[in-house]
Formats: sequence, C-alpha cells, structure tokens
Amino acid sequence: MKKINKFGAVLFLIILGILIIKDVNALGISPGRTTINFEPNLEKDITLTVFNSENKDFTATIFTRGELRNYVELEQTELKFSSEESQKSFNYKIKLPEKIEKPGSHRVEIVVRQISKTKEGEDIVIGALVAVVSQLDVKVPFPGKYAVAHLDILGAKENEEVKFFIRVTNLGEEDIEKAKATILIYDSSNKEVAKIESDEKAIKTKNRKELKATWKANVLGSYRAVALVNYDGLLTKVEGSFRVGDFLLKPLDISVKNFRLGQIAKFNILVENSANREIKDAVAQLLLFDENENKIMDIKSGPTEIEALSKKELLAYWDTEGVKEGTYIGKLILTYEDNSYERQIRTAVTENSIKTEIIGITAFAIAAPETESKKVPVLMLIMIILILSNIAWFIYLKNFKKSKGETKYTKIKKLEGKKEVEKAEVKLEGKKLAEEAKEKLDGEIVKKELEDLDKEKRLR
Amino acid sequence: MKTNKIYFGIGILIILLFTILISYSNNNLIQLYPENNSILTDNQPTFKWVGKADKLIIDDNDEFTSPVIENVEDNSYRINNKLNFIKYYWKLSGNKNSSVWQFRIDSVVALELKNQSNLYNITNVGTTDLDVEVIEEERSLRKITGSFILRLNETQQFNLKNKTIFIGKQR
Repeated sequence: MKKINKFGAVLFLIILGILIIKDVNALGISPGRTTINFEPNLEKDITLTVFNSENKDFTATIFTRGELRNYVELEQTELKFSSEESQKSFNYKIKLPEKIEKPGSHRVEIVVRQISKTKEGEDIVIGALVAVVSQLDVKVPFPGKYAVAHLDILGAKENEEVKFFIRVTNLGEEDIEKAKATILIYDSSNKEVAKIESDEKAIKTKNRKELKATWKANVLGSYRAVALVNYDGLLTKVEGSFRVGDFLLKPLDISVKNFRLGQIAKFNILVENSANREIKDAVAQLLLFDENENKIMDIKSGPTEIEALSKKELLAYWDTEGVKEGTYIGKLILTYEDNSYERQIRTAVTENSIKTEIIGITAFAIAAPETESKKVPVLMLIMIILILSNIAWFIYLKNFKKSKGETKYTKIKKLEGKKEVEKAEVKLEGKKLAEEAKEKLDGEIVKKELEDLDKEKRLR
Repeated sequence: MKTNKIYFGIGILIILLFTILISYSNNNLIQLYPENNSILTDNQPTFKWVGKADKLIIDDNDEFTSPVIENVEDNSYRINNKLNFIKYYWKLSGNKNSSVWQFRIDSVVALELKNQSNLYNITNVGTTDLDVEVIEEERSLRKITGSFILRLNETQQFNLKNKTIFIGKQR
C-alpha cells in the first residue's frame, strides 16, 4: 500500500512538473569567435552555423554590433527554422578598410536572436528569449616590431626537468629575425637560484613560435620564473610560478621474498614520505601485462598512514597460479589523499624468484622493441611458408607434367615417336617380306637346280 | 627445363612483393579522423587511424615543441583533456611516423531557457564559458540591466517581471 502511495506521489510530481514547465527555448551558434589578421581592403566570407537543438519552429533575426559593424555585410537578416531543421548555416562578408589607425584587437559581433512575431510582422518579445553571439576579432598589427609572450611551465618532481614554453606572437608589422628568452628562477625567499636560456627562433609577422627551455630541479619547493624575451633588441617580460616535487611519496624498492611459482607472492613496496607531515591513505597498486597487453596482475596494498620523513613498506599479494615464467612490463601507481603518481616497472618471474625494477618513463621505449621483435618472426614465418609453397608447387608441376601433362612439346615428341615406330614397323615388315621373298627365291633356285640335275642325269 | 625456371622465378618475385606489401602495411600509419584541415565542435575528439601506432602526438604548433603525447594501443583514442578552440596539429609515431594533419576546434555558444511559471532557468548548453547580457524591455525601451558569467552546464534562475532577452557570448 505504501509502495502504491509512493508511486502515486512520484507520478503526480512528474505530471505536475510537465504541466509547470511551459516552454523550453534553445539557441546555439558556432564558432563563438573567429580571429583574422588585418590586411588593407581584405574581403573575407565567414560561415556561421545556428543550432535549433530543441527542434522547434521559430524565426531568428540576425544583426551586427560593435566598432567594425559597418564593415560587415550579412547575406541574410533572418533565419526561419522548422521543427525538422536542427541547424542552418549562413554567410557574412567582412570588407576591411584601407587602414585601421589603432593597433590591437577590434571586434564585431554577429547576434542571432529568437523573435516572436505578431500577425502584422512586428517583432515582439514575450516573457524571455535568448540570443547568441559570434564574435569576429580583427587584429591590427603594431607599427614596427612588436611581440607578446605567454609562459607555460610544466612543473616536475625532484631531480627531474622543469619545462618552460614561451609562446611568442609577432603582432608587429615587421618580421622578427631573432627571438630568445632568458629565464630567471627565484626560490620562495626571492633569491635567484638559476638563469637559463631558451632556443632562438625567427618569427614572421602575424605568426607565433614557441621557445623552449629546461631546468633540472634539485630542491623541493615553490619557485617563480621570470622570462625576458629579447626580440631583435626589444624586450618583453612574462612571469609564472611552479612547484618542484608535488608528489610527496617516493618509491624506493619493490621486492618479493621466499617465492615459488604457483604460490602467493608477497610484494613489499618500499616508499618514503619526503614531506614533513604525515601522509594518510597511502596505497600502492601494481599492474603487469603480458606480451599481448593482457593484464596478468592488478594488486593493491591496503591504505596506510606514513609518518613524516619516514620510510614504510606497503604490502600487496599476488596469486601466481597459472602464471608463466617470463619478463613482464607494468606500472606502479602510488596514491595518497587526492594525489597519484605512476612509474613504469619491469618484473622478471622465474620458478623461484620475482625481481621487479622501477624503470621510470623509459619503459615504453624499452617495451617497444618487443613488439618489433614479435613482428619479425611473423613476417619470417609468412616468408618461409611462401617459399616452401613455391617449392612444393614447382615439384608438383614437374611431376604433373611427367605423369599427365600433355604440352605441345610432348605432343610433338609423341608424334615423332609414332612416326619412328611406324617407320620401324614398315622397315620390319619390308625385311620380313624380303626374307620371305628370299626364302621363296632360294626355294625356286634350289628347285630349278634340282630339276637341272635330274635333266643331266637323264641325258647321261 | 627452361620454362620451369621461369615459373620458379615468378614465384619468388610474388613472394618478395607480398613481403614488401605486408611490411609496408605494418609500418605505414594512415590517419582517418579528425580529417586534415577539418573543423570540429567537439573539443574532446576521438582520433582514428589505420596501422600500428605507439604514440599520438598533438600540439598547437607545427614544430611540436610542447606536444601532448598519449600512449596508444588500438586504432582510436579519445583525448582525455578538453582541447582549446584553436588550430591543432597531430601525428602518430610507431615504427614509422605518420604525416602531420591539422584541424580546428570551433566553440559553440548555446543557451537554453526553461520557464516554470514566473521563474526562468537559463543554462549554458554550449562548449565554452559565457558572458551573458540581460536586456530588459519596458514600454518598448530596451536597456541592459545586468550581466553575469555562465559557466559550462551552469544554470541560473531568474524571476522576471519585464520582457527580457538573454544574450550569450564567448568569454
């Protein structure tokens, strides 16, 4: 009964909600912003797309505003959407003047606004409506040489390289032949601790280049960087801050003692808390993958507190039943509170030992040749199969010809053979006849001689 | 006998061509998406390609001096972090490097207005944070009565007495 009541209440609320929500209007435009560089008398067509995400019938009006609005020609001033049309595009043309006096960015806005029309066609607003804007920024170059810079810093762990990227944009009318940054690094007590230099680049007008510099951070802490960008003798300054060694847990060693393949391996992950405060919920996760990238191990230690500036072993267990001997690539993920950090590992599993080494970010490069070496045998195998099949085919063809094959050549040979036999047969028959004739002749001669002898006898 | 030798030679030639073909298809990386010189509105695009790639490299400059490098395994990868509304260059590396393709991400400025009796909820349903102007109309006189920042997917509620227009533009 209670269930039915609850269901009824929910249904009532849903119906009420549907009744209360009278209307939903939505309107979108893309791109929200377009940037072009000023060129005297430049004419450019720009396409905008308007979205009717609620699939409604409505009309939208298009108009321009802003300081450059007089340089914009709209292809149309109204867009009519039917409920089947989810988006529509239209063009506008920007026709820039010969000159814009003031350098820098100049904006014009193309506004698309929903309208409700009366029968007479008068534009009225009932309740509330939405409008969306696409901005066009025209960047007018500064006279001579002028550049602006932006500094991005990729902080690092202790003894790793901090990377500085200085984006320099040439907003001047002239090309910059040489741009180079000098970066001054200050520690938390505002003492200059390092001075480094970036690479040097040429930057054409209206173009942007990125200068790069690195600094090996040895000491944990907060730093401030000041980049002085020198471009053809002119200077621009940009600042930023960064931290070295944000992650307070340091992996020291991974070991497994008294191991036998097929049994449960106990992993001791030795970590150090480099902070002068206690770390809560420190967890070590170990993952290993086989040569086909299948996960063969995914184990975690229980959450542990680690005292300030102390070392602790985190324990995780792996059931090695069905695991084969070999070397596997994987990763160690250390987490505490909301922080996470991972290192690549390589683990060699033998019958009675597991040795794991932390190999850092080079693991991928190390792992890569394995995939290469995997590919080579496959290719070799295909080649061997093909060569063998070619030989087999060759032998088969040879035998086939011997047994059954009747080529033109063999036909001729056969015919020639027949003729020879025929000839031989003719010869043989002739010989026989000759012998018979000879025999006959001999018989007749003998007979004649005998008759002659008889005659002689009678005469005597 | 001479004919047999010719057949054998042709066979070997076919094998060699086949091997070269396999080797070529294994090494070559063919980019599929985002297409070269394309314009996207999704700022977390899924990159797609054919061939074996180890790394997907994306940068906003064609010299790739500060790239985002993602380790990839399959033939597609959805970028984790949202990209900015600018031009990007991308390539793949494996046994061979792919060519460099470029694409541009355009922002979408979009507002959604829901009214529940006298209350109006306005939501940023686009892909970028917005500055929203509020223009009220009273006796055919329109005036800007305020402005506010509307972050991505954020909703603000208004109790409106007059006819009002909300104008959203990229911050």
